[in-house]
Amino acid sequence: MKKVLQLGWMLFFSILSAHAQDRQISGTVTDGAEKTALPGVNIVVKGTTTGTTTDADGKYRLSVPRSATTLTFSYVGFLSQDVAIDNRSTIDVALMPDATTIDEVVVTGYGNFEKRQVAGSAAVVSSAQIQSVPLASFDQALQGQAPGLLIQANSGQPGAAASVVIRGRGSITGSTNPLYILDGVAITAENFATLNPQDFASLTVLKDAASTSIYGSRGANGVIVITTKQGKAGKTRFDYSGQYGLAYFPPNPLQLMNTNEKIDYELRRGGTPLEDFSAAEIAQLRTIETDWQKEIFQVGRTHNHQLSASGGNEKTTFYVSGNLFQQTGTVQFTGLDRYTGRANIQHDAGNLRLGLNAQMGFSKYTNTTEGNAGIASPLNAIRWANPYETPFDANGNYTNILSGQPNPVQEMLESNRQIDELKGVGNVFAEYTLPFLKELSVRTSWGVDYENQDRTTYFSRFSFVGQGAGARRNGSLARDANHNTRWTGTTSINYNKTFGDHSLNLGLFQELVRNQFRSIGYTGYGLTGNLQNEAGITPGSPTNNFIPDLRGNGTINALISYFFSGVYGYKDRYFLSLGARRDGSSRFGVDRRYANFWSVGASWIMSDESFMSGIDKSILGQLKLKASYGTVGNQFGIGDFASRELYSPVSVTAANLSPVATVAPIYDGRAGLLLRQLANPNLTWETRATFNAGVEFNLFNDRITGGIEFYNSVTSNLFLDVQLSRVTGYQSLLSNAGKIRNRGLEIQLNTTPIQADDFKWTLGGNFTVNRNQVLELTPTTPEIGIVNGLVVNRIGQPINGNFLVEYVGVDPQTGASQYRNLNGEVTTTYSPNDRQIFGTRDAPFFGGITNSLSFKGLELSFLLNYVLGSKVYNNDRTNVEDPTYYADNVSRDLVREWQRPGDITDIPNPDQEMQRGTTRFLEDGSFWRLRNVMLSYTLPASVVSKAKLSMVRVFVQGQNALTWTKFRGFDPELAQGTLVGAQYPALRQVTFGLNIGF
Amino acid sequence: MKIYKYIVLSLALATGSCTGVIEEVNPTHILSDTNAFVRATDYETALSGAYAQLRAVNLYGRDQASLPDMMTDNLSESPENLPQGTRGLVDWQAASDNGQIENNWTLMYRMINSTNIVINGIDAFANASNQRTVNRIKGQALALRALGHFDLLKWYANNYERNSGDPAVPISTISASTDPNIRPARATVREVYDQIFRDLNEANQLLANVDAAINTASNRSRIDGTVVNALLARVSLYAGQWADAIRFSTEVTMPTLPKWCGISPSTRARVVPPLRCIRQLRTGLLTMLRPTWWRSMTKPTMYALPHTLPKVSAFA
Repeated sequence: MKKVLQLGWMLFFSILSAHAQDRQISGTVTDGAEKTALPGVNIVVKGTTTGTTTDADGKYRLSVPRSATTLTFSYVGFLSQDVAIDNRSTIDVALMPDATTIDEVVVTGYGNFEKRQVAGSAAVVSSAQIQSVPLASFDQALQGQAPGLLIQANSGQPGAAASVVIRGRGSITGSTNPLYILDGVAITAENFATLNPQDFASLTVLKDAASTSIYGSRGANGVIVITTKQGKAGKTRFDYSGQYGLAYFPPNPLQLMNTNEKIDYELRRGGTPLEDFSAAEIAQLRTIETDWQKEIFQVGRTHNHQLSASGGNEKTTFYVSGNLFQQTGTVQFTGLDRYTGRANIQHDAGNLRLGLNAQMGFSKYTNTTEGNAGIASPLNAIRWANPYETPFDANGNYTNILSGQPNPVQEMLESNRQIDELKGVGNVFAEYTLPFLKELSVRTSWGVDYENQDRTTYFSRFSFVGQGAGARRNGSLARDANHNTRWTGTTSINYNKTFGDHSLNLGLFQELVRNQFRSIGYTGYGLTGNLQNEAGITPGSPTNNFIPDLRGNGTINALISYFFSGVYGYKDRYFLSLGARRDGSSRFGVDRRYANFWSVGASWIMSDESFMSGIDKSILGQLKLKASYGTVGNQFGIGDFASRELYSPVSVTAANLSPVATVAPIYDGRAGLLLRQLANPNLTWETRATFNAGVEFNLFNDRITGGIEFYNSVTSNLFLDVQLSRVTGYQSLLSNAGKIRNRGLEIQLNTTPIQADDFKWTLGGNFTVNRNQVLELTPTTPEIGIVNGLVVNRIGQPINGNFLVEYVGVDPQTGASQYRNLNGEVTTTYSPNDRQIFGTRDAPFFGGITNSLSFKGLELSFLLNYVLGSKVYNNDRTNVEDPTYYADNVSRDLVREWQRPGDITDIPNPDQEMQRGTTRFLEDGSFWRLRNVMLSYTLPASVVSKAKLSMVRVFVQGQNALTWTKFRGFDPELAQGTLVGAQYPALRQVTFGLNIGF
Repeated sequence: MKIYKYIVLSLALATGSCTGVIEEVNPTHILSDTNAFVRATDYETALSGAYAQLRAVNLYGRDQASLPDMMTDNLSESPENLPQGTRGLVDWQAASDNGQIENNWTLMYRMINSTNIVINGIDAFANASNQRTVNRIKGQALALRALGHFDLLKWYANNYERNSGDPAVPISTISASTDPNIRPARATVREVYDQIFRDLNEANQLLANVDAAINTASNRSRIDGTVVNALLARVSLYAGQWADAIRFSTEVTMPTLPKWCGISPSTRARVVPPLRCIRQLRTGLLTMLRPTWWRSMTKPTMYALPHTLPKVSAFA
């Protein structure tokens, strides 16, 4: 009876509504930013419950009462829109993404938090910002994107990793690399060439203790957390993105002599082979003008193609992609070919959610030696080869360079360095929400980062190295297989509950990380035939000197952690976060393996207070204050068994053995053991304690957003080599001693000066100043500090200070170099005792400026990156300004060297010994760089949909297009603050790209 | 509720199975304190390591031979030479941070430390069945330690008198890993002599009762009883103990007689089991029947340290 009545009522209402509905409205809803169809958008007649949702193509059809005047379109993550119906029957709407909600999630790797809750310091870099950067290693794409991040390319070889330092160097001996987490899996730092950044969804940079303390002993240098793209329920979406580009070698600010200058110089100085040349021969030489750069440089080419599919239903979603990346460098025979594939799958089975994120990649890269001062590096040889010599003689044979240096072209063509890398990164996870206690969930995730590198180094018997090494070994082939496997397993219990004004977000975690490395390799000799592989090696015998070298190594480390993280919120405007972690590392002494780290932070959404309610929300959208303090640790950068007493039966070099000469522990044919490392059972973590305070604001309807943060961090228990009494037989022991401080200010500002209907101008910038100081060193460190080559670390001074004698020009009477001694007097006597600190190699000021202008589908944007205030040492210059090296080419500056009394010049008398450890070679390392400039056009949705596509975008971009610097080298981006030599500068590229969604 | 129990259980398992994970991590491709020495013969390799260090250029590979000549006027570093760091030694004006001196000092103590590892460690693995093996290894280590201290004493003491109270060099008898932070003071000349004689006498005793011959007729690269006697003679000479110097050198220069039941001029009568005695008598007689023995009688072998050098590859 009841059912019949119910049915009757329903019938009644449906008839009623049928009477009222006499208007059909249809249309398409698109994503205003990406110009793609939006499925699942809610459309409601304002003030009623009548509504529908869009289908997979973003289309909808709705019957509305005649009385209805307005439709409301809403979708998660987008700004809702009210649209007046008027008399239209077709209403197309483009929803704009809600910028505030997009970056409001901070991914810590162990959980996602709303940004307003977060008391720590974290910067989110969206995938859009790095997606189209035509570089293989994603770390370079982060340059200038976030405050506190100092990223220097250091090398332009395709696939090379950059140097990444977050908030200043916190260690002298230990590593300063941040920790990288990809989908919850710890991945190897500085090896990203085989990862596909186009699969990345977001990158979060965790900077202070409150954010990184849950990474405990690994978090001291900051953490970069990467998540990859996941599928969305709905129609399967296919995306193609492709790019093609060209790369050019930058101009050369270190000019060398041309043929005539060099011949004149040599003849004037005398003593080189040219002395014995006849006038006719000299005249012949003067007709040659070889540009050695042209002989080994080329125009690099980049191809990048990515095809991905994503979709699924409410229960299962997937993302699958395949990528091909090919790049040739600006030096011949350098390049990277990369092939990657990814599958991310998630499934919801009621209370159980499980998934897999996996990437497999293979890359093949060919490289040349760089960053050294060796004569066999073609990048050095192009500096040193004389312009009056040619790579080949008239018969097409390699020219023997007169000075005896290797011929750069010969070295390039007769050697080969290749790395084939297979890398797999992935994890599987399962998450179970308790059916009777919805707030409690249990999650476990297990992942692996596997690398298999096959390195080949080949020197033919015609190359300088292949001929010379080990007394005529007639070419060599070295092959090394390195395997590294790192397991990360995390299991956690999470509790999330909101009751009344209170909210709780608690997590209890257990984690295991285990890394295992193995290598095996050999070097074979006597490649006297035409085979350039293993088959060409001549078997060794005691008489032919071709006995191959065999080698192998292996090491292992493990980390176990138990930790807690909790955020308590009150009235959604007071937040308190706590973190505690206990870590055990196999690296340390038995009694010092475990250490505790903790953090506490608080944030306050001040703008939500009643006393601020007088301020219009359109003026002050949000004002947040935050502060945190906590400790994190560092265990990277030391050996896996740094605390152990180690003996080895083979000859290995160990840091604390040098410079004392060691011998192979073989005596009269019998193998022996040598004590390589003294035990230090007290060795334990470096601990970095950071205080962070900041303010975040949101003004004039998001027209101005940003934040200012101050931090002060002190690293104590530094890993330092403490000097020992030599009666032990050893020089030093790796111990925990000393303190350094990094302190700084970060400013981030994003503004939208103009936002008209179709026109938008955004301008943003970030600025960081980081100052560091050595507070304490070891008890045995002398007054001047720890000197390492031309760098000193001294108490009270910034770390990595240049330790040089001041150079004050040339004495016009004698042409002698003049130096300033410690008493301030000018002298021509060089003494290392007069060394003083001249600036620091680590730049204290850095940041980026972004600018974007968009009109309809057209967008012009650029990123300007700056690094200021560092003093760098140009060792490359010392080798072309040293007057004793004049048999090879020298700097053009030497044309104006001192020749006779009265000459006023800055280049001294060539007969006087040139001292290298002086400020003569110290240069300003500051630079501004137009990192990226891009012009793109997104076709209107109406045009695109006719071709059954959801999005079409074309662009052209320039990478590293312009650089402003006084530095005299190809590239001022130097991670270590010195240019040793053989520089392979960052790629200057122009690329053309196409993105299609369908 | 049942599922809840499972989860707790599996979590406990996951956690429980991880304890010991970091404790179980041990080096696999380099030996550590835990696995470098697990039996007495492992010390044989440590001893070879100590011997190997004698070849270093800063020890007997060059400097121990060339520095005396530099410090007299037999050898000089010419100004045209690329600096070798020895100018200070030639001119007797060595700076406190002279690397050459630091290397000579450090490497000698490193060699001594290698012997300390053997001397202090091997006894823990000794038993009735391998005592003679232990004797052979430990005896050589003791002699090497004495050699190291003696050459240091020669460089750094102003007075070589046996009972001088003048400062000499620190004595190193414990392994450096035991206490890396030691800052030992200079011992007196007498204390250093005491240590040297103690080590050499013990070496002499131990090397008289070994499981196998240390050197062969054609290969004399290691320290055996004869070398210990030579060292004793040399140290006695420096110490001004003439009678001992004569006694020990006589033993060295005497023709090497075969072993007669453990009886040799320096080691008095010793109890040797009858069976082994008979074997030794037989071996001894057979040896004396060979012409090589008679030749060695006419040309007594002077021992040198280290007698033979390994093939070139070891220097690479």
